[in-house]
Amino acid sequence: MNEVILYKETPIPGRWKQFWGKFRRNKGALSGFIFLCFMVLMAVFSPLIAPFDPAEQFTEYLRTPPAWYENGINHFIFGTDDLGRDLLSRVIHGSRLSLGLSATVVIIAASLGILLGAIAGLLRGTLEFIILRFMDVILAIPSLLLAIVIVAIMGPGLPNAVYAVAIVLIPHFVRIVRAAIKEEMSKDYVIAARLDGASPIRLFTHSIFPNILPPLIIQLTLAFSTALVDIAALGFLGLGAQPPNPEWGTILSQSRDFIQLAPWTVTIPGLAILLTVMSINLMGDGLRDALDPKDHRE
Amino acid sequence: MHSPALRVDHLCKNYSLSGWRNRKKVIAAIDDISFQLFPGQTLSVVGESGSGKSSLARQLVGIEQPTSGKIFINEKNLSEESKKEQAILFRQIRMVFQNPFSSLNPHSRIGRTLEEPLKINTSLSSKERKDIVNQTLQQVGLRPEHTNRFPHMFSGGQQQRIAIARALILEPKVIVADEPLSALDVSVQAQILNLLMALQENLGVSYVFISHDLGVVEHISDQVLVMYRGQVMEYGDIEQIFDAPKHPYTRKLLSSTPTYRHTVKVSKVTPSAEFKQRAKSANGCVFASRCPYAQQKCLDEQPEQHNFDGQKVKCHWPLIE
Amino acid sequence: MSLLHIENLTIEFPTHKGYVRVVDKVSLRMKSGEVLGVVGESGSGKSMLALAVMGLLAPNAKLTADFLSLNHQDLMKLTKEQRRSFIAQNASIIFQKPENSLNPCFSVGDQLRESLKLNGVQRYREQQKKAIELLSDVGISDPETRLSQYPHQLSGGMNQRIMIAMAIASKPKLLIADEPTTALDVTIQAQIIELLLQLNTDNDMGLMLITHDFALLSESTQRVCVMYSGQIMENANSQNILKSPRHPYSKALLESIPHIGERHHMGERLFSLKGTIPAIDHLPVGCRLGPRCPRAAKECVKTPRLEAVKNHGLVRCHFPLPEAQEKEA
Repeated sequence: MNEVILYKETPIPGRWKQFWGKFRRNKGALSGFIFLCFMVLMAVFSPLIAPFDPAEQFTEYLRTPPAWYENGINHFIFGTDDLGRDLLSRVIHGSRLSLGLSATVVIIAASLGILLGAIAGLLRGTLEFIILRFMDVILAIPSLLLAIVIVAIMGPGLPNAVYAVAIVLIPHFVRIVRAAIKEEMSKDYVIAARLDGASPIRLFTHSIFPNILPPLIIQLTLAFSTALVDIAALGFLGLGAQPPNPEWGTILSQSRDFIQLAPWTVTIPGLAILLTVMSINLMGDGLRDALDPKDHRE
Repeated sequence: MHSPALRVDHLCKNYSLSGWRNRKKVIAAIDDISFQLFPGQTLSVVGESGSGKSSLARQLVGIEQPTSGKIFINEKNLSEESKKEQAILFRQIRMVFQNPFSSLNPHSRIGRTLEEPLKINTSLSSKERKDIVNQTLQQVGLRPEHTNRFPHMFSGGQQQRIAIARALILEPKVIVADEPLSALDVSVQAQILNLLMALQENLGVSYVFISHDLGVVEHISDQVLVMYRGQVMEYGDIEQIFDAPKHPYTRKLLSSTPTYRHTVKVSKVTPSAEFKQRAKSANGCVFASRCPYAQQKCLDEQPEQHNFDGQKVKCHWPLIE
Repeated sequence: MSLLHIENLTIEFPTHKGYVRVVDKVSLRMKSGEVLGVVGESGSGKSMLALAVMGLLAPNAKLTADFLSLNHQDLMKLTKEQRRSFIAQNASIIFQKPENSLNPCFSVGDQLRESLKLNGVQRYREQQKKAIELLSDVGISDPETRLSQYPHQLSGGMNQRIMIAMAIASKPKLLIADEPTTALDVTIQAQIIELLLQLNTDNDMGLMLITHDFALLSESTQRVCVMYSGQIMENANSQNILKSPRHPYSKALLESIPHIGERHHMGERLFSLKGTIPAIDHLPVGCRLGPRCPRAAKECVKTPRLEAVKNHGLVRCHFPLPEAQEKEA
């Protein structure tokens, strides 16, 4: 065919480009994402960044206020606590614990949740019923209360706190995965794959799983922020990380008695928790909008 | 004469209603359907929504198991074969869905989607598979470099071409197409229709073409099966159905389509409300409540199938001029 | 005088790439009691045009027009409130999916009475009487029992009839039917079109029939307006278009549908346009049909104007098709 090509085909952006284009336009989500990246970098490189060792006590500088106070000194930018430890270093090292533990919790909860959800979604009948009712029982108890009960049974300490929060988070994953599988199963392309002769496992890994990723990613971010808050809460109650571990919740609980004398010792770790959770939620919100398949504006 | 590529004998499918009150009630979605389809020919199934035409498609390609009846593919009885043999037979009968976008995995490049049936069902090497994929893509009017794209990068018409390519890739004898045009824009429908006909001429594949558009049906069919509430009202060659329809329902369908309004005569009388009420509880002809020619006998007895030179009409009073 | 008069109506929607024109300088006139067909595929802007006339566009849409009048009243000169009540009194619209337009929580009677109340029928007795009248007007048998039923208990065709009954409750001068039969079965389709045409002749009500199906219009309309990508491509007497379309797009629409008695023979193909409808934010330069048109030439990169063609109507093409010779019967 020797036609003169008067008109070019218009390129259509790829999936990632489309996603990033949409995500980038959401300013809140973008700033949340940037802040989170900053926090993660801080957690990874904390020994290099932190000016002092988190356990090092400067006995002549007990309860020094932050640098911007009248009697603060530039040496300790965020001030020191009642034992003379540098608050900045503690918060930086704490980020490693707080973010790392939350990530562990989410990984445990997500893998168990996806497994149970996939079983419930793919194999119907009694097994599905048992899994779902068990999840309903977990959901019926307020999450933090359940975590406290579990820690109370297993004894306080970091590993137990991680298991407790993970168990509390599992039902959400199960429900989301099961609902998404149910929805995908009735779609034409899954039927078409079945007609191609695909086995149930191949059907799940090749056809269904990639398509339930968007709701799953959103649930992951939500679970991450919940895990962060719950672990801090357990630490605050003395059931999670034990002092002198610089976990944010633990720092808070230790400084609670000096809230009048040294308010910064409470405010600064509190702010760290608040900002991190907020940035995760903002990012989750942006992800939800950007991954929503119903929205076809590029 | 060849042996039929697809033969269906007295096929029935019942669905049982859910809920404790209706547990014992069953609905016959397909009730005693028989037809045969020869290689290189097209059988169209027409009817209104709820006539069971999509349900028929689902039985044919194996999405659902029929309640009773036999399906023969190349004269082999599907239900008598072993599971393994069945899987091989089902390669001979493939499906094209109504909505092309939802029938393609949105997260899979189309090269992979097209390779999938070959990967599962054959022992070809990766190179051989890729060759077949490229060749099939060209057959449906797409280019080999399209394999790296995702479904959403194609227009509706191109997506339907891909869906057709997937149906073709195992070199089937029969393709079941469930309303393959109705999700497409008018100016694109003709492209797909032309493609389907070209493929039939080149490859000798047979179609079971499910459609509500009688113009399209007349254009491409060799035989037509008119369904109403799961039953075959009329079944015959294209000339018989369109030139001399003998069932009142076929006439009603034809006369409702703007282009055919002047070609068929059908009485505009509708049964009285009282008659309709009686027809609901009666056990006779399913079309009685809407039939302009219905009489008492239609309520009392199921009509038998009359045969006029191969044209089968299920009516007590077939319309013969 | 014209019932509906539109001059250079343009509708734009904001996107992150700036404003996108979904309807581009459309001009239309309808006489009272006329039946006008608007044909187009998805994205042609035909539904947007209907919504614009009804004042139902989304608030972020930007509408500009040189002139827009309904029933001799210049709509652009009215305030928002005045416009809304004026349109409500003079025009009604029905949509493709009646089940989406009816509220599932209220009975048919409740919804009919409500629309009668808005039209000034206050007393319950009168409303009930009127509602029964309206239902029998649209051909629903046993209207008394239907009034107490809910939309999900009725069939799609029945629901569409109820939508029509609600639409004509205000005795509008103009009824816009946006794909009124697309979701219905063929046998019901014919009945609904018949009903609309009957209402048109009985009440001298203008009818704008929007559809993608040329066959539907063949017998029912006096004039047909063919739209593509937001522009009017051809606007002419319907018999003229059906016999001899002058725009390649109209011809493609007509010929891509098989006709009666046209049975397929070996090697025969239907006439079809290549390619697909352009995305509204990626329109080609010049003639919007250009990339798909079998007759496209160099000149087609310049935008053609809608020009009068002798003995026919308006056509937007640099090279209008010649008048078809009468086919031998």
